[in-house]
Amino acid sequence: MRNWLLLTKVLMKTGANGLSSGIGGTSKKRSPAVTVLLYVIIGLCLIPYITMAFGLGRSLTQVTVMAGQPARPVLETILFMGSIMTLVFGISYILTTFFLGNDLETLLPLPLTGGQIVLAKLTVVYVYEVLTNAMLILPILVGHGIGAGWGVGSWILGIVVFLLMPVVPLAVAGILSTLLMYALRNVASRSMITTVSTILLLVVVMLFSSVGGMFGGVSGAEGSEAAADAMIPGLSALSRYSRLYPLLGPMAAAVDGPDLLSLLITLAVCAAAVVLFLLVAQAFFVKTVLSMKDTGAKGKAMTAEETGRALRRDSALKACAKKEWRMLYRSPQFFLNTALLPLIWPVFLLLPAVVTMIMDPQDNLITLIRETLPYWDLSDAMPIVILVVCGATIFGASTSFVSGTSMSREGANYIFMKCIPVRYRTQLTAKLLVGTILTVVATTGYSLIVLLFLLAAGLPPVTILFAVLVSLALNVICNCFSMMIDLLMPKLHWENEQMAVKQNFVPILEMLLVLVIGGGLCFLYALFSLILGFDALLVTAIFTVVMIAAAAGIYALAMAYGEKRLTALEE
Amino acid sequence: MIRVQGVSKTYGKKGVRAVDNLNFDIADGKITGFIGPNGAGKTTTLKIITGILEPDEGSVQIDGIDMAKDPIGAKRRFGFVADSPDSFLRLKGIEYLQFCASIYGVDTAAQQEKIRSLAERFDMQNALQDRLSTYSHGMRQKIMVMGALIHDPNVWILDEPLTGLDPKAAFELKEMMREHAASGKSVFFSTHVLEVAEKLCDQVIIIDHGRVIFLGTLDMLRAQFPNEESLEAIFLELIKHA
Repeated sequence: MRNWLLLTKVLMKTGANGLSSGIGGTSKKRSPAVTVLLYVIIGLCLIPYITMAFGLGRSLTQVTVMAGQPARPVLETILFMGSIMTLVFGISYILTTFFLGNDLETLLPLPLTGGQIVLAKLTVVYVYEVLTNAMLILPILVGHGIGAGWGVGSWILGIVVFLLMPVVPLAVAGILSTLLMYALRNVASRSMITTVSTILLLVVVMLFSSVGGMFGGVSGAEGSEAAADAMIPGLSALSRYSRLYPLLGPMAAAVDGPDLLSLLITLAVCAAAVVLFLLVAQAFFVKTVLSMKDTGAKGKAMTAEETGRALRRDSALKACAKKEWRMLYRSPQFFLNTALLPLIWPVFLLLPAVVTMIMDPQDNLITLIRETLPYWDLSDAMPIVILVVCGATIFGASTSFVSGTSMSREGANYIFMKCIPVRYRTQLTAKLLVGTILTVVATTGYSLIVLLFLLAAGLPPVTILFAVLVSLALNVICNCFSMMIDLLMPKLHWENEQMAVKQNFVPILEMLLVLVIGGGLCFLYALFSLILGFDALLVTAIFTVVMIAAAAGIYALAMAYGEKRLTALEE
Repeated sequence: MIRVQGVSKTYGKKGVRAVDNLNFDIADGKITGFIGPNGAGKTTTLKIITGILEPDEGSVQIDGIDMAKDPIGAKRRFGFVADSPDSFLRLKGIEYLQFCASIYGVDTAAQQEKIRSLAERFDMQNALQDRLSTYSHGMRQKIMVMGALIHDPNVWILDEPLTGLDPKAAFELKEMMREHAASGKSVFFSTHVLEVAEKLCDQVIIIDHGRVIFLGTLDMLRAQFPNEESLEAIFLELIKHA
């Protein structure tokens, strides 16, 4: 117990200062006006998110209550969202923290058991997940509490349940990760199996949700959920997913009651999950870590042909971008935590469709599309298409932390950026290029596939042109903005790579800001094209030009600010 | 050559003076050792010279190019090896060298020739296609030195370059430093190992508490302390009275 506490404290300290490293004195000179402006923007952008999240929780609950339905399905849904988010974010975090941390070489020779090491690491992950949930889920939960008219008891138990919410998902993620890594430990290098395991586990989790949601739907489409669905479409579907996770019932009952017995059940299940995790970790963690191998050295001289292929003079921009890309994709800690989600989110969207197609060949989305396709009229669909593409772009870009951690990922190596004969502007552009290309592939690229399909269904080509241009511009805007926030608060002092990207709250902040700013831009477009009913082609053309101009403007701003920040950055 | 004029640097709000009114020239054709106890200001000085830190006062010139006025031009003139070689570990050796060559504008043919020659001297031919993360500390140090020298810079600035090198690599690097100085160019390196300074340097700069307390040849230093037998004793005596 004492060792666990001591180790947790040390691990927390080494990964602390996620928000403060850039504020706490790394710069000699600041540009006060730009810095203050950025803080003001951050503050202004967070207020809408918190307001929206709070409003969502409250209004959803109020509508349900007004319909004469119990508020508990809403609460279960919120807790389910928090739990599934913890599981999805937690898998890559746990894998990289447990199996790739540089601290393993320091910890393993110490007189600590494998259980103590992993429990301390799990605690650190837990703390960061709680803080992440506090930013993303807590406003919704508070909105629900106010909408449902919670009493003092519910508020107190609500806080306890909020704190307990990530325990089981993290324990499950820990158990799955440890077992999978143990099974694969001799197959490939440590980095490779961590990457493969993360992708595999994420797909399994989403597949499980899809299949479970379908089965839940068979039995759950009646009673209060069906009635709630009549008022709020989709609510019962979300609630059906929650059947996958039996602890949601006791958690919600504990708060809703408030009911101490349900709380005790929740506590007991959480404790059991942690004990099970510890048993698995005790049995497999050290064995796995000791038997995993790093990428091996070939130890062979290069042939003249190989050298000829490898050596050629690149421009400074290309050389920096190649270096940036290699450092990103070869580091599982960086790649899994910053780039994976935007690349595979379409898989998460497609999985339920594929599952329903397999489970119900007659009545599914694909069949519906095939049957109704001849009747589609897309000639007036421009505003909707543009809005959907904008939404997809903003969502995809917000889940990418590549540009938003590009400075933090340098760590102590940032001094190298300062002593090479390459302009800061060029080096920053290289970083931005890598982040932007990735989000363009993950948003514009995927959108283009759907748009080309819609072209066959009669969508005017000019719509595709506008959609692609707007999507490209939005990608530049989102990436520049994320990079500026990272430059404002870079986390340069870290001991292992995941600290730069996970034990760092700036990316979450960036995600919220990108969502809010992007949401605002979409709203403006919707206001003029749909609500006020101006000519769609004219509004879209103006919107496209404005977005391209905004992208150019924010790029210029990001470069100017970046040059100032890099000049000012010191030890 | 390197010219440091009136350079001062203060850290933090409490005003810790890391270096204080430094003035010295590193002449061409010489190897200059930079010696001082821990925390004396050596690394800060090297970082100011290489443009990593901006001085509060004073100026730095590399081959006559002012670092503040033309940083890119000045940075092209030197090759710098930092004190920690644990950088770019995800890159392969050949990729790191190609990156360095490209940012210093070395053309393709020259890259191949220079890398072949450096790899041979440092016995790194069999390691170039492996990632730096698989290298030992000494091999990482070697690849950093190779990256710094790939553009054949006039001025070499090396922060503890011999740390971790095996005897052969250390010998090769010292030989290269001598050859470089003999060809009329300058080498400026920091070290804690006084024996290295004694055998290698044409002149030394001793720094303590951010101030230069000695600048000259080792013979001049011995002449100041005729009663001390070893360089180590002279050094200890010097910093005791600094």
